[in-house]
Amino acid sequence: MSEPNHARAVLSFAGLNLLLASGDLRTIESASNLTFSDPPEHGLGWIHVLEQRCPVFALSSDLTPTRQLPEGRGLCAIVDHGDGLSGLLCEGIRVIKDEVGPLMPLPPAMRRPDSPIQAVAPDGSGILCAVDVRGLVHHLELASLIRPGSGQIATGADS
Amino acid sequence: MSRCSGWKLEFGAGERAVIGPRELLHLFDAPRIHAVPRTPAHCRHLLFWEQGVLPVLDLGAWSRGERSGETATLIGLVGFAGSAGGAPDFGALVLSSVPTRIDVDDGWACVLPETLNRWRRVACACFELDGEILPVLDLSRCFAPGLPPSTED
Repeated sequence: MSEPNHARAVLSFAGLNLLLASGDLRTIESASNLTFSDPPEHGLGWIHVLEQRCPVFALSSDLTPTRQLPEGRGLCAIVDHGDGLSGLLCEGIRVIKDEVGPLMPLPPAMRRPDSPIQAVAPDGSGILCAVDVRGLVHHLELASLIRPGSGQIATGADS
Repeated sequence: MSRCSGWKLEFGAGERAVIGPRELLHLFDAPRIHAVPRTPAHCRHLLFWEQGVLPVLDLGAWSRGERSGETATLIGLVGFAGSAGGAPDFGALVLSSVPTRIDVDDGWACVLPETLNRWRRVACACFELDGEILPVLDLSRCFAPGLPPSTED
């Protein structure tokens, strides 16, 4: 399942390394270019890029949207999810070519229907989680639903 | 009466169960496991093994309705009959102590008591040994997709 000659991006934040499919990363911006006024429903703010106003999200270690800018997220990965562009705040972004080992599907016992994680691969002593960007954006819309009666954004603690 | 053997597994906080003698394949002491986001609370980690990937199932956390911890000091690698009699499947279980080999007599079979009802979803039998009721795990059910929390009926 490796894709030789096609650069792929690894987005790092909150201890995660998310592997995007080839072509999903459109560009990289500085998080200092964000505007925080009137943020999108599930996001932190907006960024203007490629003549578009893109919603920007910051995710926790369980891929739950956060409402506060986490420390160290100085980079904004602009990803193409098919219906438009979105920004994901990252601590690091790595562009790789042929360095990804074979992707292995997540074992059935670990799958959840609401997860955008499709497969995994070893990455040195760590792990890469391959995500479908379209599924990730859909997941953001679901995961950030207000908990009934609590007025709080879901924390994902039950993930 | 026929006798057979098995492995008694401990999952912490007094949670115990038994698997077949040939289902326990390997023990790992403090292996490196990897958390994956958006996974079930009792099966949040995986283990790379033999060019493959194994789910790490914390049946103790599952039984108690808890979220599995960030580390595991002892992991048992298990193999079991795959679905539809296909190739064997493999998985990993979080253990709290080294498994104990036991001998079991058919005559010790019993009904799973109400107090252990939570094990009904993953147990295929049950027996009493030295006054202790021990569920026998059906590993294919343990590692089936969508195992609901033990607290969910």
